[in-house]
Amino acid sequence: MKIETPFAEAAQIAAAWKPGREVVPSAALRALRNKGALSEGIDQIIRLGGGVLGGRAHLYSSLNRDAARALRSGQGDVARRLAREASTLEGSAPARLLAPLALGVRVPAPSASQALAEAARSDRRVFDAIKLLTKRTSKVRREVLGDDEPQILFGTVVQGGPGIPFMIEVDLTGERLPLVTDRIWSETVRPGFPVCVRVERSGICQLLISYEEALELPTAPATLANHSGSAFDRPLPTRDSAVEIPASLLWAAATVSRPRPIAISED
Amino acid sequence: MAEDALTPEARALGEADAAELRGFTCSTGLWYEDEVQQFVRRQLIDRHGHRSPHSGHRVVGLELVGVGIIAVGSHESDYARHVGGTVLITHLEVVAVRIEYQGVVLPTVDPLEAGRPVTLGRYLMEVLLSDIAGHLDRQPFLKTIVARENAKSLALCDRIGLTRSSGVGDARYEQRMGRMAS
Repeated sequence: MKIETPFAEAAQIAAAWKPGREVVPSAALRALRNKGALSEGIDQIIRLGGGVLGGRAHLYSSLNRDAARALRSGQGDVARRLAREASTLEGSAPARLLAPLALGVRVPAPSASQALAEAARSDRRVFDAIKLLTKRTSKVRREVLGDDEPQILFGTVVQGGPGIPFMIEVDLTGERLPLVTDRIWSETVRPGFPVCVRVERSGICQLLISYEEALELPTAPATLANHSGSAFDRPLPTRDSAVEIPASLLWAAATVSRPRPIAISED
Repeated sequence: MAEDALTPEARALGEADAAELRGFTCSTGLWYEDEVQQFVRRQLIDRHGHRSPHSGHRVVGLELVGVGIIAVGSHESDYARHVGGTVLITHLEVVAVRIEYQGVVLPTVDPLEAGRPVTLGRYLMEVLLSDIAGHLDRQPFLKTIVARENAKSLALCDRIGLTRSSGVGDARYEQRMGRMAS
């Protein structure tokens, strides 16, 4: 199950404010803060191995990206309201539980989405907190933006690599979209990578499409408490334990070739 | 071992094969290989006995004359849901090749993928897919669970088309899913 990551990093907020332009994230955030269009954020001291101080990491509610977009389109009041709501979310219990996980200190550091998804696989509290925070974020965005709310699609990278353009297959529709990556993303993205596609109106007959890594939650939270067995510990199949077939697989072309008939003797 | 001696026969296995499978060795010591080996040795045939009436559980072995079972795999039906309701699909349970036959090429088998010789493991997969294709009560969707550290099995999944990846309740594994051509 793919969902939006409830957090955003400085570079993502800067890119939402000035899409397609080279901006220094710290300068962009300073400007947004001066206009009241940035929340307080969450920061944490990073300690490396042996207690060595590794600096300070910052994370923000993903609503700050919506605030930056609103400011870009001249809606200062909306941007300031979103920033206030973002500060409230950042102080909530789910955000306080999740932020240290998203600001993981491992080297190489996983993305916030990967770190949260990994933690959710083994900890039911994390799973629930992610769902709650994402739900609250979506609710605020819908209430504040109304008809201006961007359309959110989810998909999976199905091809791409060194020298080959990346393509996403959109869940539900099975359509394929090209994925435009920067240098850093092109080193991270690979087939199977979950993507969140955000489509917003940018003017008359103009759309702005942006991509971010989606957070892939496990589909079966009931099994989270028990993860010490093996891959073969499966109960008898029942309708209640049915797995979900992704709509994109349902409607897409076959991925497995028809096998060659091979005789199997029966004893 | 001469390659031209390798002409494995596929056979549906059952209770009579339990003793032979108790000595089946497919692990080089990695945890996920140990898990498969223990499953094949201790559980596979028992599981087949009690699950086959419910899930159409099948165990298929590849045998060499004078050697015995050199590879084994199993599958069963499982439920899956989509927007239209709940359907039966196939869960590919295990694919294991005896350690001394891992990577062995079958020169007598026509290529299954352009430019690649057919290894015993790939052939076993084709045998299982062929068996699965005969189950007309199942929709043409396949899924399996693979250890994330098991790069060889993940690569095999990629090659045969089990390319849709998702997490399961345990971070050590991922689920792979694909759709078979009809």
